[in-house]
Amino acid sequence: MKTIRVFFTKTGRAKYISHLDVNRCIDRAIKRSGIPVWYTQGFNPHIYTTFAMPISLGFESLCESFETRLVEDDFSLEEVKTALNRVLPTGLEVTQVAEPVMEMKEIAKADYGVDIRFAGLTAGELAALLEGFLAQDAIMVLKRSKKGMLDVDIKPHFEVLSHREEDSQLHLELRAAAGSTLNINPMLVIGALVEFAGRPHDGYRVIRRQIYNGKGEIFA
Amino acid sequence: MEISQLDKILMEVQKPARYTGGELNSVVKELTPDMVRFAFCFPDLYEVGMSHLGMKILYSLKNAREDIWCERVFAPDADMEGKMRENGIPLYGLESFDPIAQFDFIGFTLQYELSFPTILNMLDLAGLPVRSKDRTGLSPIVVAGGPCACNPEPIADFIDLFFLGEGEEVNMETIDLYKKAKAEGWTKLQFLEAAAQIEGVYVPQFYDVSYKEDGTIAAVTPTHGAPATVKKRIIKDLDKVFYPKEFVVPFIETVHDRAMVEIFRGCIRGCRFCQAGFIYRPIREKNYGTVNGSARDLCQSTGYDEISLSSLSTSDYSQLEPLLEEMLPWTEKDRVGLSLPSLRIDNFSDKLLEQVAKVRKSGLTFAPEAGTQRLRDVINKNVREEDVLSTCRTAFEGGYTNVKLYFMMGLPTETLEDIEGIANLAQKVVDLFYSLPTKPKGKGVNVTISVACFVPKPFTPFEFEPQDTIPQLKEKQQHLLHSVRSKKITVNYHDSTISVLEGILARGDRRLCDVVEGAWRRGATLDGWSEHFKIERWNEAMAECGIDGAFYASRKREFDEIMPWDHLDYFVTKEFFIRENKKAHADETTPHCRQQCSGCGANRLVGGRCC
Repeated sequence: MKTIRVFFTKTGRAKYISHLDVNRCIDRAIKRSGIPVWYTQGFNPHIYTTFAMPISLGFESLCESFETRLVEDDFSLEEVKTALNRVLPTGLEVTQVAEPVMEMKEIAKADYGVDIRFAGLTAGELAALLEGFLAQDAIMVLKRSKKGMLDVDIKPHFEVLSHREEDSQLHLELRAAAGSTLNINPMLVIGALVEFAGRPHDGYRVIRRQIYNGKGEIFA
Repeated sequence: MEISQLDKILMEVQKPARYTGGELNSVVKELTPDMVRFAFCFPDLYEVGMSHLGMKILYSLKNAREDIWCERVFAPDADMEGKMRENGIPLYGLESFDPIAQFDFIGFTLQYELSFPTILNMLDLAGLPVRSKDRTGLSPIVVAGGPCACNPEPIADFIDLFFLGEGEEVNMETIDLYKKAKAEGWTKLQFLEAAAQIEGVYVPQFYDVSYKEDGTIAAVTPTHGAPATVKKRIIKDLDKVFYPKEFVVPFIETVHDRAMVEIFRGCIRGCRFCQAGFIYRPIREKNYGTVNGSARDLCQSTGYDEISLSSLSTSDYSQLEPLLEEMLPWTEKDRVGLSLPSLRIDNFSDKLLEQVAKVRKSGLTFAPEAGTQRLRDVINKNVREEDVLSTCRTAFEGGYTNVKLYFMMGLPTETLEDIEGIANLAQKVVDLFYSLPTKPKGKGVNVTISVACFVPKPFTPFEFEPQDTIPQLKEKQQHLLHSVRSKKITVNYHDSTISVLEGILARGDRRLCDVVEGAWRRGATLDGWSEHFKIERWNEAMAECGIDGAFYASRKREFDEIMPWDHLDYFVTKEFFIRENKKAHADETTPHCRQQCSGCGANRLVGGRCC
């Protein structure tokens, strides 16, 4: 038996599928594909899958992954990819299948592409807005935690790798803390920016591009 | 429309995947000039509509043809509806995101009366006038079918044409006629006149209804060359009829989230309260080989890990044993659970129980329907107390500790003694459990009795009967609660207000169209959901229209009264219903179709014998 990690993308309208639903969808896809996977041995056997850092509902992602176990050793990883892609619905696509190198708990950072629309603001106004936002000493947000709602300064936990402004449209490349100990959802940054702007946004899009371990290596 | 236009609102609604399509096996086509576009609308939420087998069949059947593109449309929940109206987004098809007002056909399935206002709401969300007469162009043609089409009069003013009976053939014939009409530039009236000549098509605007002074119907007169009675359609050979090899597999969890195969249509039983038992006659079985083949195809194409056998009464399928023998080896190997709903108590074998136990470990559900033998004879539910108890014994010995029993109250001839009978039967089941030396160790028993309010339906022997009033039903509910003395028994009962409204609509006539519209204009939609339902909207609408609900619900009809649905022919004759009604009042039962033909009339459809 061999544990494998399947990397896939979740784009387009598939971003509206919740994690629980993606999970069920993958189970059914595995079943349709005929890949020889291991079933849990409990009272109610089911296909073993476990997902790393599933993306929030409404965001796209290029770096989703799950682990499962193959019971036939001679079933190649390339075959898994082909078999799954044949049966997955539009928007979910396997990009790579490999044996896991890292553990899921090593995940520490993630990169996001973020588009925010502020109708009527010029490119120059948006650049000034962003500059002011990042120049703050602290960026306090209310964050849900196990102990209830907490006031947290998120400034140390994210950086803007690059940005671009067009009229009405702000584009950010964001790197933020990710993982089970500290996770900065890009919505927190968007929310803080909107509050700083003092006006509501007119829509946003988020895509997760990559996740990393603490050493900055791509999760594999 | 592009999905990106929806992006902003989808992030603000519950379960957005209900509104985005893209599920496995959903059908997206490239538009061609001669393509007929059909919006298959289910007047309820996605989770409910996506569980419906009829929609799956007709969706696949239509899409199997290159020149038809059938899309799915469901009623948006209140949050989504609000956002759509706010942002000027019209009701769209889940496959193309195109507004359905542009489609050639808009088809509704009529599963229960309370969905009627939702139909109006969906037409309105599509940007269309709700009344047929205000939609003057050839397209879209608004059609409807399904069980409630057997008395469609309360929505006759809104729908252009109804399909009576089974839809596989009549849908296609109507679409073909429409193609001709479109190519030759017919008016809507020309099209409807020609469509009314297709067997199984009912065009309500071609029938003039006149009333007597007492409010009953004087006559229904056909016009525009429409036939005096419209016959329902059936598929004669179920082994040859189209059955989907694929189902659309929803992302979100739906009510029935599994593969389904039909084993037969119709029912041999003749329970006198049951509309389905009569309107789907005659019984026609599928060969077990056909069923097994469909089941394998579906499991392979969907990846479902559960498949259920669909019919009105699974254990009446004459080929159940060979079917299970075919299915068990591969379902076990592929880890697919086989579920057998709608089992009868009187022919529930150990072998069957063993099979059911593999899938559902939670509990067993049976429907004795009435608490005393006398009343079970009245309704022709040929189940004896011994059957209930012996099945429960088998179940308890098999390790079950939860039993659910379904009953109705408000049945014709019912007395308070019959209500006490419900509590007594439940008590006997509890006592049985504790009397068994083989009962599951260390566990108590739970008996849930679920009591619905009886609603007299068209095309049943009880179509003449008065429905109990709300105070009568409430009194019986209280009496039942007081008759139950064990803590092991849980009682659930229905809201009598809703049941009486159902009773009004079920046997309503065309004058109720104004009431349906009035209730909708006051906000009625998704009324099957208690959080949306408000009886005040209906009461106000009835008052405004001068309609007395009691005329429809609690009035006894004479046998010679013209019913609003008498010009629709479901092949079971009114003479048979009258005979059965008289037998009911004499506490006499009627044997089921395989024991003896009772001459209901349905055999006319298959040329003589049916069972």
